[in-house]
Amino acid sequence: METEENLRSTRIVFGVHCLKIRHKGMYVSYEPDPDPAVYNELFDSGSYWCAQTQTSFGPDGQPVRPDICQGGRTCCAL
Amino acid sequence: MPNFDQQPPAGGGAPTPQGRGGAPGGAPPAGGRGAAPAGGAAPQGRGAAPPAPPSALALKYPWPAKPVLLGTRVKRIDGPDKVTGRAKYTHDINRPGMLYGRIIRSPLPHARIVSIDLSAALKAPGVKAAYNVKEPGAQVMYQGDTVAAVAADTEERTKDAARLVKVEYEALPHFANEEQAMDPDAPVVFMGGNTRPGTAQDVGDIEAGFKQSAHIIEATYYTHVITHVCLESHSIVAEWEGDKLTAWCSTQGVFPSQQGLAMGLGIPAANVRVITQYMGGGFGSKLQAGAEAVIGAKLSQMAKLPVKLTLDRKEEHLDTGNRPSAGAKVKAGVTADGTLTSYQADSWGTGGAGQGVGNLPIPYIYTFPNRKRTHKDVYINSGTQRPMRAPGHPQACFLTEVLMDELADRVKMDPVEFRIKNAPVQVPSAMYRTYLPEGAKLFGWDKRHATGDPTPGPIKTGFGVSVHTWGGGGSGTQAHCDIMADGTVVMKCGTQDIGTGTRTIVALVTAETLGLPITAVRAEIGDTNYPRSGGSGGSTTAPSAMPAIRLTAAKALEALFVKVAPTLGVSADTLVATNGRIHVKDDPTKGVTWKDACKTLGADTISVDHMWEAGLSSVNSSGAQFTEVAVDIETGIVKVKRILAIQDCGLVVDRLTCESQIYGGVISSMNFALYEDRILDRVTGQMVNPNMEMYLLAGMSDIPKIDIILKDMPERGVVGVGEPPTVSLSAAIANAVRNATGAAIRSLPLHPHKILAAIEQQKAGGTL
Repeated sequence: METEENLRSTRIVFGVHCLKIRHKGMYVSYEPDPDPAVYNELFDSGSYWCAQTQTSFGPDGQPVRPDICQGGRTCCAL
Repeated sequence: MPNFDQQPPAGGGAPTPQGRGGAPGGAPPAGGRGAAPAGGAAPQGRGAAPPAPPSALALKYPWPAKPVLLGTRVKRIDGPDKVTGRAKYTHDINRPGMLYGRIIRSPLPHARIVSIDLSAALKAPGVKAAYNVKEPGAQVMYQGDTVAAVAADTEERTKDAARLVKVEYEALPHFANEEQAMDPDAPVVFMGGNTRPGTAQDVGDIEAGFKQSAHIIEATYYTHVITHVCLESHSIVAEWEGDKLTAWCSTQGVFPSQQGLAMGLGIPAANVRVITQYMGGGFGSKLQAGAEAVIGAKLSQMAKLPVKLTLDRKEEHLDTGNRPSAGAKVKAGVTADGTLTSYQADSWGTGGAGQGVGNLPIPYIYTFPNRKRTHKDVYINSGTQRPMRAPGHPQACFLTEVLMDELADRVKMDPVEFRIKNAPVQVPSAMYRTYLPEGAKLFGWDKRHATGDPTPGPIKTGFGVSVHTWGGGGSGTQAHCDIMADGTVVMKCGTQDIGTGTRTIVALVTAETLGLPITAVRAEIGDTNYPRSGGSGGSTTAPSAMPAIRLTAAKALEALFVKVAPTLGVSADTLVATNGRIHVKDDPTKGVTWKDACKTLGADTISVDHMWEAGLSSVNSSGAQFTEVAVDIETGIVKVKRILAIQDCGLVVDRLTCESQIYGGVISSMNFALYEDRILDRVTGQMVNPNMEMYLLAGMSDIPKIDIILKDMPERGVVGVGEPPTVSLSAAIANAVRNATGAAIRSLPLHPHKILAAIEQQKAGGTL
């Protein structure tokens, strides 16, 4: 059996994740690899920040991460 | 001693390549994209997407086969400005009427703000602005978290005013380390929980692999948290003119900072100009504007005067990022003939408050056909991580490469031979099967003794080796070239020089393309008024900017040829530019000097915009590093005696700046292994060494001779080299210490007390 499960999609998806979430890969001149796994290996350091607060906490004081920067959070901008 | 002259054939003799391309949590791309001539061949290795084919313009203007400047040792064009003090870093910028800003920060690792009283500060002499960054009721999540800010007319008055800000806190539960946060009885401190499962992986048949194994090692490996320690601290000088902001920032990205300031302040990005002429170290921590820049700009907006806000060393340690920790409880198997079988790991790591370690590419590089992994991000109450030179790779390299030496010992194989046997398929971006034997010969690896220096006396010596990889690559950067009637050439690009020599290579590639000396070109960078470029991170600066510079200069030259051709009575497409002249390609006597050619412009200026196109750069690189150490087994002090770094980076643009990057990377990795350590008090959660006295860094006398072997691969185009050489030396040092002492070394940093403890543990029976 060969299975792989990505429990934490680190690729930011428009319409799903807050438009204010940022990570390194968004700001370097590199063509994102269409394979999320390769892309994540290169640039997913797990470091996320909010473009509005410029910290790793959103306007509501809670952490910035793809798993929680989604619709339903009061400060989330879709 | 193996005979390294007998190498396995390229692409052959390797075990089965790992699963599908780029499995999360698996090894980094072995070969990956662009592993062949730039933009050309099909992808190799882990199934990554093929690179875009070379553009027509890139095919028309490939990198020259016989360059004049490319690949030579060109000194930095701004070197004299830097050593004479003419170069203006952000801290050197002074504006009329300028104030000084300061941030009031939380002394507690987790608390609720009960009240903030600015009244006394606002009445203090010289104070022009103060405000609450957080409001009462909000929480501070780590020591150093921002609370309020103040600006006054002198630095001293600003510090005095900051001390007058009264903040009342209600202390809340906190975690100072991963163990506290992972305690099942711990209170929930972070939204979503104190930990979060990461990527799981199950490839092949892990148990079948273990059954095939003649030897199995079960052990725990760990790397610690370090901070970026930029010599130039994070800083901003902000000045408003109406609703428009000019910000001199110490940043790795003028355009990312422009957006960050605009969104942080709620103003149009077009109203923000960011300037970074010189920058003194960022290492990933300056890819965002940062709260400090927004706060400085807001203070300036409130006071209606320019504000300089420069963080001090303590603030740098507490709140400008760090490299996350990484640990892994590993079970790994190997057959009697030294073939890797199964790798099982439960890993974890913390990037501070609400941030994890992210993707951790273990097992690193080597081929385990069967792999099973779980991962857990752990959140503690410390400053949050920011990207730091090859995120995830130094940790993953250590966790894997130390294990590799232990496995090699189990099967009684030389560590170099063992690595070659288990290295991925050889491709141009993954040349381990070449670099390892080549390095071994150059280093004198045949003089390595078996694990444990048998010589008498307290000083034991040992050899260590490790390999690394990184991606990099380019796209997107734009440039603008002016050729003026007096012969002046200006190349403008909104990239920035973060200390790596970008300004120099912008001028170099322009000069090479135009057939001019480098002194004939003015390179203007570090300003959002110039054409757009990305942040300088991920080893993408040179591969993004150099193709843009090359093609923009080539297009400008084409335009000049059109002007000059009629005066020579030839067709423009017969002309070339070399050695300060424009002449007919097949008849160098038929031509004019550059200055005379430019006179044909009359009142015009050639003004050309262009951008990066595929075909002049590639992604991915590989390298190997060797080291020899001496360990005093009575004191536990490790002295690195020498280092050999083999590194490929495609086309070498400037050999001098390229080597400088490798020196810097190697020293950084040495610091990671032997010196740097962010220490949090396990009870108070406060950093006990937020300075540069007790937070150790290598001094000049600690740094040994470093030999660099640059592997030229001009056919691949430009490949970034900022990150790869910073990955593997720490693991090589750990392996060398183990080779010297015979003691298992499974965690960093290698401070003396840990070396002594490892030696004592080994004497007591060891853990092997």
